[in-house]
Amino acid sequence: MTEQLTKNRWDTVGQATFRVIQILAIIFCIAPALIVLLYSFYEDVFINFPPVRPGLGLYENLFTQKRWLDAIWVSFLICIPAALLTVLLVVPAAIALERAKIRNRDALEFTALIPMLIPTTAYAVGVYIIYLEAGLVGNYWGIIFTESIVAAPASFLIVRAALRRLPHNLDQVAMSLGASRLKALLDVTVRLLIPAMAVSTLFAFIHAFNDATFIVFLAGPGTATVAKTIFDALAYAIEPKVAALSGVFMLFVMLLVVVGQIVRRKTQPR
Amino acid sequence: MTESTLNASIAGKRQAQGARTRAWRPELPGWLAALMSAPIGLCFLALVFYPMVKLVIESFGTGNLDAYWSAMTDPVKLRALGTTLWVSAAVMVVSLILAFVIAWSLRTSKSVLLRSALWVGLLMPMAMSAVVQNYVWIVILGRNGVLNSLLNSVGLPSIGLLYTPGAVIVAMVYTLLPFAVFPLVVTFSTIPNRVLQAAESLGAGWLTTMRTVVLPLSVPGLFITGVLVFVLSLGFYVTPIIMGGPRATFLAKVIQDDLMMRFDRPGASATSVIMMVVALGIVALAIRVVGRERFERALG
Repeated sequence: MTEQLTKNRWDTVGQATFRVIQILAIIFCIAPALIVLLYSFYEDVFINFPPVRPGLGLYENLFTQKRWLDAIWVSFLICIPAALLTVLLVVPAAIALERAKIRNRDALEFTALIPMLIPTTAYAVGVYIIYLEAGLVGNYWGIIFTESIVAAPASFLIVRAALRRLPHNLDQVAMSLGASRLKALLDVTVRLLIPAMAVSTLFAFIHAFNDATFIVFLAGPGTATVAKTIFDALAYAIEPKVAALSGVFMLFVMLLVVVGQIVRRKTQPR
Repeated sequence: MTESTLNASIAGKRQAQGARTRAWRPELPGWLAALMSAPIGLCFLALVFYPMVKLVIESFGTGNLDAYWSAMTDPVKLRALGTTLWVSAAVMVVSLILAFVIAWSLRTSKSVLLRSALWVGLLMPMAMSAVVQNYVWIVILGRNGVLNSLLNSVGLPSIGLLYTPGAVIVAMVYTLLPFAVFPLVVTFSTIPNRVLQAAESLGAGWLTTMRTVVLPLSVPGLFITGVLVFVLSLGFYVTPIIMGGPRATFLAKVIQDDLMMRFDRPGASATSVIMMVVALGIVALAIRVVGRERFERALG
């Protein structure tokens, strides 16, 4: 009733504008993904709309051409160790930061987030120059370490959130019942963190898999991940073949993201 | 605090009673904490702080300020700095508007269809690597691309958006939108329904409620989100290079040319240092204004 009385013309205009932006936003977010999928099922040489030659040739290329097969292999060779390394480095440090008496806890916690805040280009140039002098450009372990440190802040935030939600004194209970410090840590704290560790491994993997900036600088000429192969294809020539790849990898990563979100929701009720 | 003193007193009593227990403190001992964080600490020293220091050292490579002088006087580099700054500002504004609408819809809409469409839409950019996203935008914005075909089919002329700053802005907004929406969702969740109902019952219309209640209450959230988006877009490498085309003047492009074509390491380092100083300066300023904790919350 009151709504009817006070609703004036400007409210209608405002709400209409809001609606229009809302619809544009949804189209803006979803259309690109649909277009990738659409184009992956066509074999057009040039980018036209609408595409005219349907076929699965691109997918066939993807799984038969040595260049893409190698790229997929290299991607996994780098991203799986990088994801595991991230968690291996982050989890003990996150537990230590949360559960020990530390004077500058706030400052240290903020330090953990710094890699997120340095502009990516500048950061990549810095690492590149160091690797250049150390002869590490193109070295797998060099790439793996950088990728895992770059993914560390996000992983730290996930693990810290999980740690803060754990009942605070479970490990203390375990110790008061006679468990050693190590046993309490591994059998109680770490075990309860397993879902968070799984989520953060997944996100670190996605991060490394999708990264093109660091890999472009650090990989050197001989090493090409999927993202770098696509970058090279786009920066120097436009290859429609890329579309097929995009389709496959978008579905692949989408699946990982959804699994990650589900695990996160299921295991960390707010 | 009370917990730890309680634990300590229990342990103390047990010992006094001669029970066979070890005295223990509830916190991890300092040496163990240090041991647990040593590996990542070393990695951070080597791969976060050393690169930053190295850039600064390298930028003075020839023992003078030549690299900075050139960065501040070379017209190409100056233009690149200008373009990068205004493009980042534009990305920030567009992202904030879209993110505000999306986050507010997620907060208030009761339609399951709309909410799931928005969530799926937000997951899409996250599932695509920046290179893949850029490919799609080339397909959409290209001369015979989707957008122009649609425009032509309704009788409008084509627009040459590809390889312009406009294309870079569109692609960057697409990449950064999830990062802008999530902190705003958190911000909006702190505005209680009661406040909105109160505004409405006092006779405020939709626009008045938005303008006098929602907007003022979300200023800190909008500010932090804006800073985050701006800083992240400053550092973009892939998008300006691919979407900006070969003649684009962005800092990323200048750095790439200096490093890979002219082998001018001091030059590339000086540009990188400038980029870093601008970004970290803005972050420091933002933290001073809103506090560290709020800022951290926006990150994840």
